[in-house]
Amino acid sequence: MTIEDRVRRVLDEAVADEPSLRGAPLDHVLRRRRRRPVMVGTVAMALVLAAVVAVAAVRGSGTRPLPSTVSTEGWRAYTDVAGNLRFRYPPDWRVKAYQARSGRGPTYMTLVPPGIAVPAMPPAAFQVSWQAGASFWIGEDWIGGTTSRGRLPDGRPYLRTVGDPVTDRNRFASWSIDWGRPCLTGAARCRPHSVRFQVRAADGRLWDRYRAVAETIPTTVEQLRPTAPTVGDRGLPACRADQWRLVWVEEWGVTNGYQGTVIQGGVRYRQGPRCHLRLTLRMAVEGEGGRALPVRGNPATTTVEGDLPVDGIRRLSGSWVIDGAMMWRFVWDEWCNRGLPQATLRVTADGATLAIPGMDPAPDERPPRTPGPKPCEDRGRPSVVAGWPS
Amino acid sequence: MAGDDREFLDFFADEFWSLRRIGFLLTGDWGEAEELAQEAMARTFAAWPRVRGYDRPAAFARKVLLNRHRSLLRRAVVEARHLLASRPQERHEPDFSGDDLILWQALRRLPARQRTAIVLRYYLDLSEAEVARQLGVPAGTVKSLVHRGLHRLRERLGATYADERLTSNTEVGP
Repeated sequence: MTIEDRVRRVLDEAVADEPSLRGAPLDHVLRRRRRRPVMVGTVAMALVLAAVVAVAAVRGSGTRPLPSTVSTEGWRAYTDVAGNLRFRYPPDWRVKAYQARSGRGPTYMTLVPPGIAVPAMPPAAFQVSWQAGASFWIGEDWIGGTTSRGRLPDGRPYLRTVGDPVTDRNRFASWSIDWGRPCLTGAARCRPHSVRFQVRAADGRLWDRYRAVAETIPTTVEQLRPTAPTVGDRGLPACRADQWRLVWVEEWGVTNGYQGTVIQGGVRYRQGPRCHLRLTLRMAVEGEGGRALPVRGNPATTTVEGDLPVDGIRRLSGSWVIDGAMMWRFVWDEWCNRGLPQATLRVTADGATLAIPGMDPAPDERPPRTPGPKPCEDRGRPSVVAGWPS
Repeated sequence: MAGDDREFLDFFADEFWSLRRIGFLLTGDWGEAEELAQEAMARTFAAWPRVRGYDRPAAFARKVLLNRHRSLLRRAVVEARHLLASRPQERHEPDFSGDDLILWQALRRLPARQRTAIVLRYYLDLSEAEVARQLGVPAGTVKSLVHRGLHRLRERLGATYADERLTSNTEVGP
């Protein structure tokens, strides 16, 4: 039996013993439909509010702190010694810790505003959760939301990602904050850390009511102990060209429906003593003979910086680990425009070159009126390439 | 009840259970699967006047389910892990043993995109082009996801499977 046949059989058998329903899904579905006119109004109002927030965010973007009109006077302080953080929160909000019954894994912490029930199991109808961890602060938030970049009042950079108020039933905003490297002694295996806050509401009404206060909480976070810079130890010798190589993780991510794509990869350590590496990567969209194609922003650039070997991209169980200071990313919008899908993407950095083959647009063999993602199409919009986050 | 609503009820009766099963294969949790299927049906119902004219309304509902699953994965991974870890006694697991258990566990541990591609390809028997359309990725990415997923499964099955593969490869047709 081939592996394919075996997979088919196991998948079939996995769903053969189906448990009975827990709820009444049809009732739920029909109720949702009846509420639709109200939802349309709510969504329209949320869109207007989102536009106002977006304008404010654009004005406040860049290196300035996010403006907040919420006073934090009289707020309580929450301290997490292990996570090396302290933040403040309104005195009438409740802190709830959840621990896995197995006793393993991190404690899951939430803050719940007054008037919202604290459930036996998360999530509450509105909550703020947070977690300090060893993942790099720039992750893959280009998926599933709109991301903006800013700095906290103490200068720490963060990425803020908000969900789509139209397509997402639950509203959310996540804050991923650069938390430096926890070791100050120049330890060889000290990777950058991050702190992540997530604000989550079950619906737009709760979102509108609590969001402003909730999103002030991440702006108050501070470190208990100083940390080493995320960029690594600039006192180390500069890495030689034979100590590293560029890698592409062999996947194309998709954004903006089917009309945008993300190319991401990393820098892999090869050999030699500890060293420091700051690389400016350039991605060119090229046609035949290396001719630059007419794409706005072409070639795009981005920068990574860290120490090798500790920050080098790693493989685990045959796959690249998508994390770390040495990950790079480019976003290419409207890549389906005429003449572009067959392009070669050439990533270069300090003499190293990586050629990424042109993507394979799914053939447009779909019969008329068949649903699903739109085929790769030229929508007459400008094709743009840029480093991410820009 | 309007005619198109009655039509939707028939559609619901035909497709809900299938969506729930796909949800289970993606999440490994029947509770989450039910919520995913319910959400997919709710959105399909909201768009029913348009969707009912499609050649394959079920593909629309399935696409909604896949999108929903993907966005949940991206932004609620911490909560999901916690919930999964906290309710072991409520889990309804398939009754596998031996190599099938190893394979099922390996499927559960695949990266989400690989698992989704394999479920669509081998549970629903969709073509690579159709899987590409459902996932919103190029066909080349589907090939890569399926190939890498199967490679991992073979690795997990180890030597036992290597013999079976040899047998399979040496089959002679009639």
